[in-house]
Amino acid sequence: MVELREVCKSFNVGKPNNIEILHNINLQLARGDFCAVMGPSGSGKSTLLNIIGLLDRPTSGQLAINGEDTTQLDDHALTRLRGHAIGFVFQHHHLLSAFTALENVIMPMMGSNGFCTAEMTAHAKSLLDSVDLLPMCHQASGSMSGGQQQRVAVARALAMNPTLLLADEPTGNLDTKSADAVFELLRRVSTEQGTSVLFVTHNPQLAARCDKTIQVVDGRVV
Amino acid sequence: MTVRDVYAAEAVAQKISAQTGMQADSWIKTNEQFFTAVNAQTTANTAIRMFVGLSVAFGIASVLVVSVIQKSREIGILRAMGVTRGQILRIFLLQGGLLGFGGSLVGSLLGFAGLVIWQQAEKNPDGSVMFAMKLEPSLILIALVLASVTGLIASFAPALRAARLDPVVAIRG
Repeated sequence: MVELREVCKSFNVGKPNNIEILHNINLQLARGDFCAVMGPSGSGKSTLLNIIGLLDRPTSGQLAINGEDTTQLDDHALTRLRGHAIGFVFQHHHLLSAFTALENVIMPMMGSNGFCTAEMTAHAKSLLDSVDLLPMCHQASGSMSGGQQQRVAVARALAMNPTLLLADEPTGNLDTKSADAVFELLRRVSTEQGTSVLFVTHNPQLAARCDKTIQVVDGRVV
Repeated sequence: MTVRDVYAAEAVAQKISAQTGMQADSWIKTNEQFFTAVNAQTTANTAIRMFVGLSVAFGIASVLVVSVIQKSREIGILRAMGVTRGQILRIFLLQGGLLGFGGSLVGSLLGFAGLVIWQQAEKNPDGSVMFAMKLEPSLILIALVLASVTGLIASFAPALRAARLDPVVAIRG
């Protein structure tokens, strides 16, 4: 489903201050895999996630998603693929605070034509129901608690029924109870929908509950 | 003799003189100072309109530049969700166009209200309107179209900047 072959990432290529962040990363993620990514700060975890999430391009190497080699795709094609196949959950939920929880979840679905249909609203409500936030769906996301906002962010990430969910420290800012709830939610999504999840965390207890763990140290998978 | 185009009076007078050998004076010649004043006023009006248009354009552009900076994280999130650069560009162009349209609509309404109030306040002793001026609907239409187009043009640079934002950098903030 996701395959990285000899992926390298450098910044300031060809300049004296060239920094190589990722070195020859080889990685395979199958459908339904629930995988933790661990490593110290600055080791390249977020860069790896940005590359897999098609937000950034590798300097060299190949990245295939759902069997499609993405290295030759132009920006428009990458954006389309990202919108349809990949969901993101960030450490800071990054919800649009002026909008309600329901509107935040509907937004990715409106990307293709800019209009909101009854089907989109129904789908968004069912997603909010799955994260136990349907009663709060018309509440402004800015007025929700951190845990609730992160659950809305998970619902938003699932709006396009992605095959891959990338979560960059989604529990990093949450208390233990909320962190556990978000983790279980992602676990359930992976099990029930077959969504592959790549879950960056600094929490060894949560990592131990994943199917497998990738350790990134100094830009290498060890 | 009355002419349809008041500004063509001098040319008509010269033509009559040439054809008949009689002395023909136009109102432009007999009121030369007044005509020069009217011309100067027209030139000043055009310059004022041009500078108002420019200041509106710069105003809209600066509002949008600030908006792009303030909303860069949201732009990054939208890009992560699959919104294309073209769609981001269109969002900000639309915002610029709507700012121009909304501003001209409010301006036209205020102008119309001002005219009505003035005509009510300033009247002749017999109760008739002192300055009989009419606001042409076509003038409002032209103002709306011109301001919307100005807004669109002014928003192009900030919209392009928003569309070119690197989502990774934008999300990081």
